[in-house]
Parts: sequence; structure tokens; C-alpha cells
Amino acid sequence: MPRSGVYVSVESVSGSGLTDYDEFFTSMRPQLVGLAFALTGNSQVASDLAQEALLRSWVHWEKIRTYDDPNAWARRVLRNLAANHARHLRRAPRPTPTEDVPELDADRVALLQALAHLPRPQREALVLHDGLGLTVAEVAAELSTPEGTVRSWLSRARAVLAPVLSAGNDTTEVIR
Amino acid sequence: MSATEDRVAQAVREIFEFGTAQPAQFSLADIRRRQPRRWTHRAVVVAVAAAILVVFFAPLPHVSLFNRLSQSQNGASPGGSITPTGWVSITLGAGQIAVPSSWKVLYDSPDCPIGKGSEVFVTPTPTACAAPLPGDIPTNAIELYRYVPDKLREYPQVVNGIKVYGTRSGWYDVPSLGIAMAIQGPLGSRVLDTVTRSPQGRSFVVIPLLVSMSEKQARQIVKHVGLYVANVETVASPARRGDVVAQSPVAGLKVARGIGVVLTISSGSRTAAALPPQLPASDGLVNASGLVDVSNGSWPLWQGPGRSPLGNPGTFGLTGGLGQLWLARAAVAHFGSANAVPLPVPLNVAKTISGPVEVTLEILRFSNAASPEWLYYQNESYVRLPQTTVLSIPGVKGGRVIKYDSREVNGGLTEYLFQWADSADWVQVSLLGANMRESQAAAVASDIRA
Repeated sequence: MPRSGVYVSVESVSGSGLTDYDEFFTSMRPQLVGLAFALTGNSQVASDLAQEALLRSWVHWEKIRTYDDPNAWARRVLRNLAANHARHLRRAPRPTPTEDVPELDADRVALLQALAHLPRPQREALVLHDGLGLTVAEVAAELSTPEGTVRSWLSRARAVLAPVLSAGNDTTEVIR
Repeated sequence: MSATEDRVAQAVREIFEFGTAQPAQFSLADIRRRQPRRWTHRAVVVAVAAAILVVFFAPLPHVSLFNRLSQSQNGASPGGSITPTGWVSITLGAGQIAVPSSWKVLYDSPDCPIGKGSEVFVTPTPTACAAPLPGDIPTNAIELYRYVPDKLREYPQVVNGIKVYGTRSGWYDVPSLGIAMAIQGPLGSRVLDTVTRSPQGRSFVVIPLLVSMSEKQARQIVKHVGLYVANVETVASPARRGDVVAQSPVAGLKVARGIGVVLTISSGSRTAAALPPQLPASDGLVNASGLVDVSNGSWPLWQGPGRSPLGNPGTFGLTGGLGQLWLARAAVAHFGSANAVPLPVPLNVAKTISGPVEVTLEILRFSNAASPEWLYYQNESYVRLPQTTVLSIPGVKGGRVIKYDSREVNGGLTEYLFQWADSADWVQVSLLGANMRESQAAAVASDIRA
């Protein structure tokens, strides 16, 4: 992509006819929605958060596009947005996380509820690693944490969530 | 990973994929409705921030300039341009500026600790200050900077200051870059504010040049320096509608903080004729016999009766808008010869000499013949100032003779001002000395008329 000085128009078009932001948007939208859904358990909220993350990416695209990994920047924004949303929920009446996802089976709903009660680092590490498929090293880099710590978080998170899958909808013990 | 953990991972994966499979509730078009931040946006933000800083924190350039002009003789010298021979006041309200210890200091006093109210003067780099002033005052005026010998000088306008001057010979009003011209307190101290205060704690400000500014700009500057706009008058003028065409008090005058300023605004009418700018003929500046009479003619810069100081190469420059000092006989008599008299005559010496010590001629030529009419000698707002008294002595060419109470700026010396307008020229002769009588002033006026 040609660059000139400090500014290159975001309308510059790649060989495929799409702008680089278009490509970024196309590839990141489902990823961010999935990530947000796993972190919040609410598809509507997930859509909103993903849209906000992509919007911020667009607003700052001239800067972000120069980063080594713009996707990581967008994911970071999304994780922060999800954390803010969770803080907001703690002050506001808490809706049922999965009330709008009837397609999920009971096990998955229970797991989603349990995920929401994991500590934030563990939840994010688990979703990035097991959900998005990032390696431990990639997760460590994204969370700015040593790999050993990430492994520890993953192990603890799975240990907490494992009984949920066995116990079906009964998440009382997990949430306590 | 155990089978249980594997199941958890699989479940998380399914949840993630479930999320990704949700129908899109927003599109690329939704995103693109927002305007991305481009460099132009950032530039606008930076520009706005800079403007705010300038307006609220940075010293106004006009104010700084006329702080410089206020250091000129008698503190009333409108016009001039920022040239390499000028100096600027670093007004320090924008922050704390440490006076570098590398500055050359020749005179200091432990009695005036630096602090709030301190001012520091340094010479600017020529390239940084080569911008002319707006309006018709500066470009046509002639400034004859005083020659400064290798002696300390005293600028009585800085009533609470410790004057520090360079000793390098050959400079006029200004020493080399980096030499502190006036400083209060020890070097290395921090300066906290810009307000100059008299020993009695009274606050003074220098009237800034407002001519040629818009009324809004002028009001901002007036407010900035601690004055207020007392009245706004409108006159027909070729100047742009809404621009200030005259002001009172005149720029450069050092006045008590809080007094009112009268602005005269152009109505935009072109009924008033604009004269082409012209420099006054050099001979015309100095042929007044009265001035010759009060000089002794032997001062090396003074080339004799009827001869123009403008023709003295290397001594004066056409740089702006001020006048020229002459020595009175009393000062010459005191020092033994004209060559021994430092300029300006130090206050402690001047106070011991009864009668005139210095005479200063100031001539400003305006492009608009109406402009001199608005200088303070005819302006009622000015003559009502508590420092001034209009005398009944016959003036020159219909002008006035004013006794100026210069305790604040001249250390208690008496000052008589002879002011008149001659076509587009504004002329002022000031007579400075201790214990001067009105009869002496009348004699000088008579000489000038002759």
C-alpha cells in the first residue's frame, strides 16, 4: 500500500478493489462478534460492542493500519469495552446473559453463565485461546502477560468450568 | 490437557462460533458514516489548542513590543517596529522561566528579590523579531535611538527594577542577544508573574498599540493588560470598517492599571483623505532653533546647530519611531564636558541639578494626517489623567504644553511636554530636569517657536 508522508487516504484501494479497511472489517467483524458474545453472553450486546470496536478502528484507521497487528488492537478495544460493560452491569440490574440465545443447548448456556463469573483475565485468556484459537504465546502477547501465567489462567478457568458441563444447568456451585 | 479440559475448550469454541454465526446487525456502511480522524482534524485540534494557549496564557506580542517601547525615553513612544535593534520584554505569565545564569549581569541588588512582578528583558534574535507592526504608525516614523556609551544607563520607567545593561560599546538601545537588560532579583530565580509594580505596590501597565486592530482584538488586548474600554467613538476613515484608527491614551504610555481606554473606530467611510506615507526630511526634523539652544553643540553626536543627527553615520538608524536626546547646559556643566555625560543622565545626578538636563525630540509621521490629531496631546481623555496638567503657556503651532508628573517614571524629575501636530507629523519635545519652573518651560517653548 503506498504511503506518503504522514497521511494516506483511507480510500486508497487495494488490488482486489476493496480498501484495506474493508478487508479489515470483513475479516474482523465475525471474530469480534464471537469474542464479544463469549465474553458477555449476550448477542445484542456482542453486536454493539463489536460495532463500537470496529467504529473506533475506522476512526483511528490511519494510525491503526500502521500497527504490526491491527487485529490485536481491535480485540483489545473489544475486551476493554466488554469489561466496561461488565462493570456497568454490576451497577445496573443484571439481565440473564443468555436470554436471547435459545439456540444454545443447556450445557452451553450454563457454560456461558459460568464464563461470565470467571475473573476477567481467566475469561479473556480462555476465550482467546479456546474460542479464537490463539496460541498460548499469542494470548500472552495480547494480554501482556507471561506465557506461564496464561497457562495457569487457562488451567484454573477450565477447572472451574468443567463441573458445569457435567452438571448441566445447575451452576449454583460454580457461581458461588 | 485432560478430557474434561478438552470438553471445556470445545464448548468455548462452540460458543465463540455461535457468536460469530449471529446475523450481522451492522454493516460497513454503518461504520463509514462516521468520519475518520485524519491529519486535518488533528491539525484543527492542535490549532485550536494553540490559539487557546496564546489567548489565555502566552504574552500578547503587541504588549511585549510596547513593553519594549515603554522603556524608551519618557515612556510615550508609539510606533516602531521590532527590529534587531529592539528588545522585547519576556512577559512571564505563561509560566515560570528561570533566568539563566549565563546571562551577563553587570549590576544587581539584593534589595529586590525576584518574584511576582519581576520583569526580564533580553534582546531577541533579529530574525525572530523582524516583523513590522500593523498600521500606519510604524512604517513611516523615524526613530533615533539614543547612543549609549560604555556606561550604565538608567531607565526610570522601571521603577522597581534593577537595571542591568551590557557594556559592549556601539550598541544603541540594545545589547547583544542574551544580555539581560533589566532584571529584578538574583539570576537563576524564577519569575512568576509579569506585572510591574512600583515600590509603593501600585500596578502599572503599558498602553499597547491598538491602532489598525479590529475592535474585538483591541478589546481583548485592553482587557489582557489590565485596562478597560471606557468609550468607543466612530469616525469616518479610509481604514477598514470596525478597525481602530486612534486610541487614547497613546500607545507606549505607562499608566496605572485599571484606567479606561478610548477607542476610535473607523466607520468604513472613505470621506477622509489618506495621505501617502512619506518620511520627513531630515533637516526638517532638527532645524528648530530652540532645540539647538538647549543643546550645547559640542556633543559628538550632535553635529552643530542646524545640522541633522540623521546625517551622523553609524550613530543613528531609521528604525522606528522615537526621538533623540540632547543635553542641557546644566548637565554638561555638571559633568564638565558633553563627552562625559552618560545618556540618559542618571537619576541620582539629574536630581542634583536644578533646571533642564535632557531634551528629547520625538517625531512621528503618519500616513493619515488625521492621526496626529488623536494623539494624547489633544485628547481630553489623556489630559484628564492625574499625571498631566495642561499649562497656560503658549505652545508651538497651536499645540499644548503639558506638565507631566513623572514621579513614577522619572524618579521625581519634572517633565514638560511640548506637543503639536504639523500636517501628518506628531511632534513632541520633552524637557526633563529637577526643580524646573514654568518660566523655564516657557522659555524653551519660545525658543522652539523661534
